[in-house]
Amino acid sequence: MDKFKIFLTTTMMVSFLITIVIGITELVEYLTTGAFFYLEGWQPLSVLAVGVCTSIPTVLLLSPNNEKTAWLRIVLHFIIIMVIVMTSAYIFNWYHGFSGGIITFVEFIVVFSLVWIGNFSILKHEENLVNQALEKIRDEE
Amino acid sequence: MRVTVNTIPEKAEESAVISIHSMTAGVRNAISLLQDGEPTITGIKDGETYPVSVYGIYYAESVDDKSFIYTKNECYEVKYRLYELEGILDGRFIRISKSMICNIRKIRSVKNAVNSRMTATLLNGETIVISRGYVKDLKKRMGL
Repeated sequence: MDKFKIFLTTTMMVSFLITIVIGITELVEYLTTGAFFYLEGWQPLSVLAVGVCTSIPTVLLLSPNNEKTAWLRIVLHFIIIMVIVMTSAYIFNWYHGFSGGIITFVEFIVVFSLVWIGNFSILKHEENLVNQALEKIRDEE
Repeated sequence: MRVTVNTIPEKAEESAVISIHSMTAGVRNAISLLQDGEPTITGIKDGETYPVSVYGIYYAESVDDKSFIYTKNECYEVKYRLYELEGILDGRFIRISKSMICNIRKIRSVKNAVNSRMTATLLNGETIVISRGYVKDLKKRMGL
C-alpha cells in the first residue's frame, strides 16, 4: 500500500506540474510573440501517461532500504526520468525545433526540482512535528 | 483519567484506589509500579546478572538470535526474544526495525535520512535508524 501511495502521489504531482509548466511557457510565448499553441485532444492524456511512466522508476529505485546504494539510485532515477520525459516530449510533440527541446529540458529540470523540493518540504515538516512531540515526553538528560 | 493525590501523615498507610471501566496494559503497568516499585528486567553482563530498570533502557536489539538491552552506558544480554520484550516492556517502547525496539522517551531528536527513513539521536548521543516501514508507527505513537 505504501508503494502504491508513492506511485499515485508521484503520478499526480508530476502530471500536475508538467501541465502547469507547459501552460506557463505557452502563455509567456503567446504574450511575447503572439504564437498560439494548439492543444490536440489527446495531449492531456500524454501528460498523464508521462506521470505514470515516471512514477514506476520512482517506486522501484527510491523505495529500497539500502542506504549504501541510495545516492547511486537517485542519480540513476534522474537519468531514467530525463530519458522518459525528453523522449515523450519528442513523441508527443510538446515542443518544436532544437530551441524548443532546450526549453523543454529546462522545464524538466524545473519540474524535477519542484517535485524533490515538495517531497523534502513534506518530510521536513513531519520531522519537525515528531521532534515537537518528542519534546513533550522526553526524559530528562 | 482524573488523578487525585492526597498527602497523608507518616504514620498512615499509603494506598491507592484505581477506578476503571476495564483493565488495560497501561493500568496493569500502573498497578505493577505501585505494588512493586520501578519495574526491572534481568540483564546478564560478564556472567553476572543485574536488575536493569526498564525506565533506563534506551533500546533493545536482536543480534544472532540473542537479545541485548542498552542503557545509557551499558549493554546487557537478556533471555527474552525481541517479540517477548515487546510484550514485557510498556508503551514507551516501540519497534523501529526488524531487530530493534526503542524507548521513545530516550530520543533526543529525529532527522530524515535517505529513502524516507529516519535517524534518531538518543540522549546518550548514540544514533539509531528507524526503518521506513516503522516511521509511520512512530508518528502514530506520537499522535501525528
